[in-house]
Amino acid sequence: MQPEHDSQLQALFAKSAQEFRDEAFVTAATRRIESRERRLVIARGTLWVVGLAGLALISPFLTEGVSLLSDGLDLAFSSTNRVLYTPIGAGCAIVLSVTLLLLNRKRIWLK
Amino acid sequence: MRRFASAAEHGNAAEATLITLAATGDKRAFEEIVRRRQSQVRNFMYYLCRNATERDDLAQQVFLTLWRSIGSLRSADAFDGWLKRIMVTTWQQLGRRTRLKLADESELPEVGTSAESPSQRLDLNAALALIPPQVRLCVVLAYDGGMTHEEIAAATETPLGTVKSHILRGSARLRELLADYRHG
Repeated sequence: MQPEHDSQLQALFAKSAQEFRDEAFVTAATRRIESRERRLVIARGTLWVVGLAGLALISPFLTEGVSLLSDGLDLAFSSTNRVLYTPIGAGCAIVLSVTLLLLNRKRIWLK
Repeated sequence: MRRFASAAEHGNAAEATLITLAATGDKRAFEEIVRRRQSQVRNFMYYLCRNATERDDLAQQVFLTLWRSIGSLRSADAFDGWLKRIMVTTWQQLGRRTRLKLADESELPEVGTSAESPSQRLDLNAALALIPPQVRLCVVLAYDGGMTHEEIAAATETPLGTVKSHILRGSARLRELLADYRHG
């Protein structure tokens, strides 16, 4: 209780409060909860169906995209390998690796 | 926790037991909580909106939120404060979202069905309608909800100084208005 609490006002609030005992409100509240849960279940189900249908629809494009990506990566790796097998390429790779190691030595060895 | 088989068992159970059961998804236990707490929630909402339809709609919304989140309640002891917080949030959210028409002095107050004289109810509700909504909320939380200033500040996310000032000004205004009613 706060020091400046008005006990007369407190008593008036206590007197004015109604005592509700009606079952109609309890039924209405539980019905509302149930209908909300039903809606949630329907929404979740719909989302699953839509998601699966969407996946089925875009799967040909996904397959095509994956093979394109794979081709691109293959090409990139084989070109890198070709460059690294030449003396200049290998030398450049060693210099680059050493430079990176030196630059990051603090982060790697000294904490 | 053992589940109750009949409604009578729920009716006789302690509230802490009901809360624990409801948190595990027992709908009957929750129904009993609604039965027991409806007066608290509906009175609170009525003091704020002074409209029986809105009151029940808001109170049902409170119980809906309660049901959705009761599983995350850590302890049954925290239930009362938690319920009050949901009541405040529900009132604030719905008020903002639907621009709920707050009762004003031009509306005729409804007369209740409790034991006290209708004029007394009319006095308090009519007087409450004459103070600004934020001040009214703080006053109702203090006198109807029995919350401390600190609790009100936390529940309404209002600075403590503002809460104190709202309650001081609101109480003074209520006393003044109620005196007017009695003498007028």
